Amino acid sequence: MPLGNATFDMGEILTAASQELRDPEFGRLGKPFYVSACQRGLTEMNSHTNFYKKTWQSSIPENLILELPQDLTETDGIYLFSGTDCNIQTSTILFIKPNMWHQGGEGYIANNKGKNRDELQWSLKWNEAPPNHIYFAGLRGGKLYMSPSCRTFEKIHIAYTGLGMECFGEDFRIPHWCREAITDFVIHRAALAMEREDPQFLARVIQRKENELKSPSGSWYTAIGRYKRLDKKGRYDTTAYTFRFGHFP
Amino acid sequence: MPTYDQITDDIMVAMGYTHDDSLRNKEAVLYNVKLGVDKLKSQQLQKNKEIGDYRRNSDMVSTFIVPITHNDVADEVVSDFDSSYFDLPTAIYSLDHDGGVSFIRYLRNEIPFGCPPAVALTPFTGASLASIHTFYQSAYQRPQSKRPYFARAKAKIGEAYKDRVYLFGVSTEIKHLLVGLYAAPDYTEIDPDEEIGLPPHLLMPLKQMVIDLERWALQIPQERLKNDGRDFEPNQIVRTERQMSLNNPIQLDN
Repeated sequence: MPLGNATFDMGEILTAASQELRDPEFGRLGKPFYVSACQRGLTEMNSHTNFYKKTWQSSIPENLILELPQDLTETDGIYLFSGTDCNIQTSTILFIKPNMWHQGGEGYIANNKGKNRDELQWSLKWNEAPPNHIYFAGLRGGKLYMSPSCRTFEKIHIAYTGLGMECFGEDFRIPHWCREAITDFVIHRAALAMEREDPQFLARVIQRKENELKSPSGSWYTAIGRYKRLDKKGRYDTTAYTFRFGHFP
Repeated sequence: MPTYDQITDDIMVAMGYTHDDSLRNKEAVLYNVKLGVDKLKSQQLQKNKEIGDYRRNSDMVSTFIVPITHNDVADEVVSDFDSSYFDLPTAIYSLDHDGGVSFIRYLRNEIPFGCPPAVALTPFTGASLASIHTFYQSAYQRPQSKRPYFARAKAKIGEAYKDRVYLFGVSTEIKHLLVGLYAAPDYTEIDPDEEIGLPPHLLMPLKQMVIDLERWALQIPQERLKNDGRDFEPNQIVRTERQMSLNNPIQLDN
């Protein structure tokens, strides 16, 4: 995963896109259109690759209902932990229990509970009291409904994928590995918007850019491939995991 | 570059208007020269915008510093509305996408030399009063100080109409703007000593255009004595307007 740290300012993309369309004054659609298209392209790329990794911590609320980060698009992991601002002392995994929900007080609703349990799901006990060494939560409407056992811990940590930029509506930067793909995305969107004015020229632009965005050798899937391939460090580590940690291939 | 006077003299000689009682006087020809110059300029502007060659139009841009009015209308006033605006200091060409407005920027003279100048910062985006609401619905296109918009409309002030440019996203602390305009000629007065402002290769189409206008003026029939055509001699040829090839330089946008 050659994520790297190199990013480019949005202006790099917009300038290249407007020059290719011969619209450097942004006189036809206006610069905000290009910015919006660029943001949409980056969000799409993030959906394909989940490159925008973020973490988020919060105290476990008294009512055990927690609103998740607004920019969460995909969750990598949820953990409970106790400790200070500096040190993490104890931690565990929080599991998601299907359809679990509560109102902030005692008791909860879930798919697998009590005598009328879903036989397809394994459950420790028949009654409502959950086992106190299992930490789980329901996930509904952008909120976590945590089990009473979670009170054992003080804080929650979520590793997740964001939108592709820190805050929606603010400026953003473009990772180096998808620079050409995002540029082609912006040109394609702008050409679609302007096609009526100059269909003879722009139809060819649209065709070229659709090839870049859809074909396996186009810039879009090249960028996805770049992000998802293992870099040399990853390959070394895979070798170490495979042969030195006792796991034979 | 020749002046209006020189072009007019040239055409008057070509047309044989060299004597005091000639059919057309100099002022009338001068007016036609101005019409021709205006037509050729607008052709050039439009064509270069269409092909994306903006720099060919650069010599026609005029820059102005305009004061902004921030109009905060009292609640009980129903004849006006809240808006920030400025009035165009000159008439401008009517081109695609408000193309008569080349650019609008914040006037920022406090930026030190060596830094990106104000003219290279914060472009104003064109819109219309009818479409501006759509931009407010998009987080990345919403008008704000770093993303300002403008929209043109006529405003009736008394009996006159102002060519007004409304502004969106501009702070009330902003008092002046730097604007670049493709200024259209003022027909209320013609200065014969003014340079025509056309590149030399367009002098030939200009001359042809004016001569055509003059020919047309001469073709306007004199007073007809009878309206049934009996005032014409048998087989008298009725002159019609000259037919023109599509490949004539006047037709092409050069």
